[in-house]
Amino acid sequence: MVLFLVRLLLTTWAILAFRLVLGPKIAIAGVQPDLGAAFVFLLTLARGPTYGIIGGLVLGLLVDVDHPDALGLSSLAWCTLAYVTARASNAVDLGDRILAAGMLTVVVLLAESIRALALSGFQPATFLSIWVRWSLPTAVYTGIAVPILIACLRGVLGTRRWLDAGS
Amino acid sequence: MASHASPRAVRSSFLLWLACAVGSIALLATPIEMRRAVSGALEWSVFLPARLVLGWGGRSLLTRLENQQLSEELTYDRLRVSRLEETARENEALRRMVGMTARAELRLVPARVVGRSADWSGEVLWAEHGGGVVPGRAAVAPDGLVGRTVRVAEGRVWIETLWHRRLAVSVVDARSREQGILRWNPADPEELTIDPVPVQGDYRVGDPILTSGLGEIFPEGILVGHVVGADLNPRTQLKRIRVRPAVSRGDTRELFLVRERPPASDGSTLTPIARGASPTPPPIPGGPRIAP
Repeated sequence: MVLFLVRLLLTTWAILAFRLVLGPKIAIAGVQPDLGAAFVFLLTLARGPTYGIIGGLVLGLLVDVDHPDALGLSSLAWCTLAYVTARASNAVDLGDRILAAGMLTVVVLLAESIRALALSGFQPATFLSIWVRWSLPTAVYTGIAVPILIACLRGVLGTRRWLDAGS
Repeated sequence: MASHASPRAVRSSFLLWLACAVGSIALLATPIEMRRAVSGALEWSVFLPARLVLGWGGRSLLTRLENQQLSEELTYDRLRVSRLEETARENEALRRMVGMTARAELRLVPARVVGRSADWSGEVLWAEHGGGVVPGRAAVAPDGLVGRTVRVAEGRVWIETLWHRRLAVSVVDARSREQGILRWNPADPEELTIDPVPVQGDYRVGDPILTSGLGEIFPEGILVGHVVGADLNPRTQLKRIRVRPAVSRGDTRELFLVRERPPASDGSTLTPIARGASPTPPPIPGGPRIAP
């Protein structure tokens, strides 16, 4: 448990540092992979919905520190992501890597859509343009980049159920 | 293999999600001052190691003081040269004619960007400074307007840049004196726009766009960018003027923060205070007026 908490803290720090340091550098047309959402996804798969939902809430608060006007929005999006991931993992075999990457893309798209909906002021035209320009590319980029990244960082999170499947 | 949770576990996870979602929505609904306070508390506590790594302490500030002073002198010189070139002949005469007093010199505080957060909700810069900065003031670079300060802590300041959805700048075309509100739209993130503009609005490609001085944040005459084009909405007959910012997104390292509230202005006097700003448009063959 202690080791898990240490891993959790280190990973959280790495994600926050990534958003500030590496994220803008690997952005494609301003779009960068959403490691925070991916982390909540992995945490949910590894430790269940309770860890995922609370982790999404806390991490969401932390990443919104530099956008205080939207404080709480990422929390809402990511704890929803965790809940949906937990429900989906009951019905779908996420041991398959490709399926898991696809699921990651879908749930990140869901979280990004929630953020886009709130930030567009619930105006359909604005929401659609933001969704096409930002939400969808972010989800696709995350679905591609994160599996590659975690293949390099295997074992750090202890997400063996997903990472070790098929290996 | 898919795992099957018991109905009780499903119900408890649903209740937990519901509680977190309601809490998040309640936080979103609180006044912005409270959200800023929560955000500031989180920043001070959780991000303490990051601050130490990035050198936001007073000691690191002292070691960079000399560079900041040199940069400050350089920027002051550039601003002064720009003013001398552009205002000595025309604006001073105009000011005398309309009885306007000469605009007070701006007092600037040097700052150095130490962090940048950018996603589709907007770009925020974290900068360290030497003190005397308050929220709600302009941030400028030698090339032009960068944004505004939104939060100040000891030695640190948060700046919402022109590419932030909450920032709106009252601007004026330096040639035609057309006024408008310049914003960034996350749906079209590459450019800033003045929107909406009546179809007869007089904007030409290459026109410098300056701050008008209206409002309480931005002093007048700071170069914001140049007009690069326009789109006409055939349904509303309103134009959308596209503006290329004078500063490059993501490239700002050294900048300056305006200390005091800008003097009241009616927008009738303009003195560009950035490199490359000119109250008259650059020579464009034929002088194409934008008519999409």
